[in-house]
Amino acid sequence: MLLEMENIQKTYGDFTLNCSLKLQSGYITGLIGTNGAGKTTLFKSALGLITLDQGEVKIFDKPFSQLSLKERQDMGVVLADSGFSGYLTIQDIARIMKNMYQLFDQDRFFKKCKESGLPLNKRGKDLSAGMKAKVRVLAAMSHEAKLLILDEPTAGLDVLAREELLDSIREYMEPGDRSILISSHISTDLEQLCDDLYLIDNGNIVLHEETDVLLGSYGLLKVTEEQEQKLDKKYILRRKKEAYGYRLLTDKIGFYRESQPEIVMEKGSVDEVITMMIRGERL
Amino acid sequence: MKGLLIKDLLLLKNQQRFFLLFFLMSAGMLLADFNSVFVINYVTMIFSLFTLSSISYDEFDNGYAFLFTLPINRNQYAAEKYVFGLVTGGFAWIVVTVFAVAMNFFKGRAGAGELVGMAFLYLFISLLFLAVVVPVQLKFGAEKGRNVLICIVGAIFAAGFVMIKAAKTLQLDFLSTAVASLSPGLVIAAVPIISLAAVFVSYFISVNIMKKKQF
Amino acid sequence: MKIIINNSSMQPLYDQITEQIKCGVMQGTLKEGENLPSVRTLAKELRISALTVKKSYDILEQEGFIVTVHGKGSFIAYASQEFMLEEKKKEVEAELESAIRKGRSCGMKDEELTDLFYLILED
Repeated sequence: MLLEMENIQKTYGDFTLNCSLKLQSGYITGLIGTNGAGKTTLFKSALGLITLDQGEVKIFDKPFSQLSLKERQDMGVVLADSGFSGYLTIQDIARIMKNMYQLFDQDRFFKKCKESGLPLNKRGKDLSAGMKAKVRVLAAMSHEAKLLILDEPTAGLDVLAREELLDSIREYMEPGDRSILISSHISTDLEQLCDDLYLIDNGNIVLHEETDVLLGSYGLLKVTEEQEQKLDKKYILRRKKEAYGYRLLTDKIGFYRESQPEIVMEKGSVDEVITMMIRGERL
Repeated sequence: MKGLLIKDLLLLKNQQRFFLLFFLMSAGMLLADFNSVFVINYVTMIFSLFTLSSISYDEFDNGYAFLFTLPINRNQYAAEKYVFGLVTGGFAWIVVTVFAVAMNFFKGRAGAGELVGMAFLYLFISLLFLAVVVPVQLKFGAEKGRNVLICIVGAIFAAGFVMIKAAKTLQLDFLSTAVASLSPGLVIAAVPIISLAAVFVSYFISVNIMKKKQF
Repeated sequence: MKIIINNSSMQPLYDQITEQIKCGVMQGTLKEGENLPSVRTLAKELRISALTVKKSYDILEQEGFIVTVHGKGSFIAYASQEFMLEEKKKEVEAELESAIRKGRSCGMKDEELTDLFYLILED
C-alpha cells in the first residue's frame, strides 16, 4: 500500500475531517470534492504538514515520521496554495532540486519546460497562473518519484492546458511502478484519468468506487411518482424530488435496464453521482 | 541541507543593490578612519541578518507548506539557518577584516594583531546575536519578530542601565574592580565558549519551535 | 486495429473494448500472435482508467482470446479466430432453431419455411 490513511480526524473550528483512504500500488486514485470539502486538509495531513487529532497515516507502509530522507525523495508533491518562492526562477528551482533529489533529471526537466513554453529565466512571481501550475507539476515529475501527491494540479488552467497536463500524467504512469493521488473539483478531468475515486464532502468520504463501475453501473432513473411507488428500490442509493416526480441514483443500472426498460435512464457521470450522493435523500 | 543553502543563496540575488551599497558604505567608513573594529562588528552583524530575510522569504505566500514536502526535516531546516548566518556573516567578516588590516598597513599603523584579535571576538559576538535572533524570528514570524526583537534589545539595554545605576547607588564598587581584575585571557576564552553554547541552546529551541509548527 | 469507445453509450467501457477486440479477431484485423498495446498505453490513448482496460484484458484472457506473458505484454491467442467463428456458428445455429420453432408453432409448413429462407438470402 503506497498510502494509507486510517480513521484520521482533524478539527479546525467547526470543520472536522474524518475519513479513511488507500492508494494502491500502480493506481491513480482521485479525490473529488468542492472547495472547502477537506481535500487540502486531507493532503496536508498525509504529508506531515499538520498533526492529526486521531488516526494514522502510512506512506510506503511506514508512518510518515519514520520515513528516511531518501524515501522522501521518492515522493513528488504539488500543493494548491504553496510552491517554491516566487523570487526564484525556473533555473534556480532546477539547481535546488538537483541538490535535493538524487534522481533529478535536469536535462529532461528543462526540455519539458521549453516544450511547454516556460521561460527559464523569469521569476516565479512573474509567471502566469497557468505557467506556475505547469512548473509545479513538471518539478514533481522530474525525479522519478514513485508516489505523486497532486492537490488540484489543474486549477487555473484552461481546457487545452489541462488536457496536456493529464496527458503528461498518463505518460508518467507508463513505467508501471508509480502511483498517484490526485485531487480536483473538476470531475471530468478525474473521470478520464483515475482508476478509483473518493468523493469527499464536508470532511467525510461520501463514496469510494472504481471509476469503471461508477461510469458503467451507476446511473440515474427518472420516474414519475407512480413509477417510484411501484419500483423495487433494492438498488436505489439516493432519491431527489423533481418537478416530474423523482430522480433516483442506482449503483446497479443493469438490473433496472433489464427489469424495467421502459423507465428513462441515464448513465452516471461523476458530477451527477456527486450531486445525488450529497444532496439526495438517503433510502 | 545543501539544497536549502543553495535556495537561500539564490534568494540573496534579489538583494544585490543592498550588498553593493553596503560594501561601499563600509569601505567608505574604513577609509574615513572610523574605528575599524566597530565597522567589522557592524558589517558582520548586518550580514548575519540575512538569515532573518531568508526566513521571511520562506514564510512569504505560504511557502512553508511546500517547503516541508521536499525531502528535508525540521531539524535540518533550523540548522541551516545558523549555517547560513555563519556563511553570510563569515564571508562579510573576512572581507571587511582583510580590508581593515590592509588599510591599517597602508596607513602605517601598528597593532594589526590586536585588530584581528578583536575582530575574532566580534565574530563570536555575532554568533551570540544570531542565537538570540533566529528563534525569535522562527517563533513570531517576520513582522511580529521584528517588534519582539526591538523589545528584547530595548530590555537588555534597559536592564544593563538599571544594573549600572543600582551598582553605583549601592556603591557596589567591588563588582567593577572584580570585573577589571579578570584576566583578559579568561575573557577571551569565555566569549567563544558562551557564544557556541548559546548557539547550541538556540538550535534546540528553534528545532522545538519548528516541530510544533503546522502548515 | 484502432479501438474507438463511445463515452455516452450505455454499454460499459470494458465491454466495448472486449467486443471490439473480439470483432477484430473474427474479421482478421487482429492477427493471431499479434501484440496488443500495454494496459497503460491503451488507457492513455483512449483516455480512460487503466483499471478499465485491465478488466477487459482479464476477461479476454479468461475467455481464451488473449494470452498475457509477464514482462512481455498481451498477445492474441492462437486459434482464437477459429474459436470465435465456432462460437458465432453455434449462435447462428441456435437462432435458426428458434426461428424454425416459432414458425412451426404458428402453423407454418416446412416448405413455407425454406421458401422464406431462400427469399431472405436473396435480399
